[in-house]
Amino acid sequence: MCQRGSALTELAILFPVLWLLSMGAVKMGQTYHAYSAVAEATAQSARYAAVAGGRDAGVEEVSGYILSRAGLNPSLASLRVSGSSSLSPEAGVGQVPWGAPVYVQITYPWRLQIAFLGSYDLTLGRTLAARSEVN
Amino acid sequence: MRRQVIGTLRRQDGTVLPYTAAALAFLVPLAFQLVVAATSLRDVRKEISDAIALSAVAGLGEARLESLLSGTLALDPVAAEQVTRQYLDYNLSYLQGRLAAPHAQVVSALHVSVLAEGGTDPVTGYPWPYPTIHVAGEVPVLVAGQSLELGFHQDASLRTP
Repeated sequence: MCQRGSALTELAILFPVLWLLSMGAVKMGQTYHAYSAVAEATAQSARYAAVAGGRDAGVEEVSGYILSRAGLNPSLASLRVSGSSSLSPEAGVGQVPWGAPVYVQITYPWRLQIAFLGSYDLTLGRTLAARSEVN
Repeated sequence: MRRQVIGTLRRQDGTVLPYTAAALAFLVPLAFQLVVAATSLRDVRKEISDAIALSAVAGLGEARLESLLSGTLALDPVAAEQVTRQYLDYNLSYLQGRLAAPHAQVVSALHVSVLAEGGTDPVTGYPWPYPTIHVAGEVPVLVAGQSLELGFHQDASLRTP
């Protein structure tokens, strides 16, 4: 009887800690999963942009497909394709000449929310450069 | 005798909580750190592999003009290596925060083999039937605050149907 009581007390003390750690692990796993999807979408989009010679509807389609397959919302993602490493929207989005670098950047807003510890707004992003293959 | 045993058990009851708490305080964060480190390691490996593969593909654009005119594919080894290294520099610069050394130093330490018309890879010994760019080497990365050296092998081949 006495042992049951102490076990219950121990559980009551440890449960919140274990819960926090478990939820933290789950949320961190989800964050890594989302980041992996963003990285994969950037790599595939960069390759597509190289073959298309810059921005093309297909680049958005490729990134959107990969992000949505990972359970992310593609409309929240920001895709930048540019002929300049500054990746500024003014830097030129049109056709990138053969042999020049095409820079592709995808960023995705992510909220890491852990009960009792609060929420943190993160931006998951990846940038890659590929070489334009279009004359 | 029986009373003694019961008394010992009772005394032990009180020590279970501190022992469990001490063990969990040490083991659970350790397990959590290991999970984070393993995932981070997997991520950084994938990122660097992608960057190297994309850079090797960039180098394939440097085909010899005369070979294109004659219909046999061949790479210009000097230009192909130069372009591959240039793109390695672009792509690894975006991963600077995850590298344990400056990206320029990492790029210069990577071994870029350009097999202009195919042939035996000097690093792996693999017989490539097509013009190929093979990038290999050790990349120092930062995982959970620790510096690790990861080995990479990525290649890209030029072929026609």
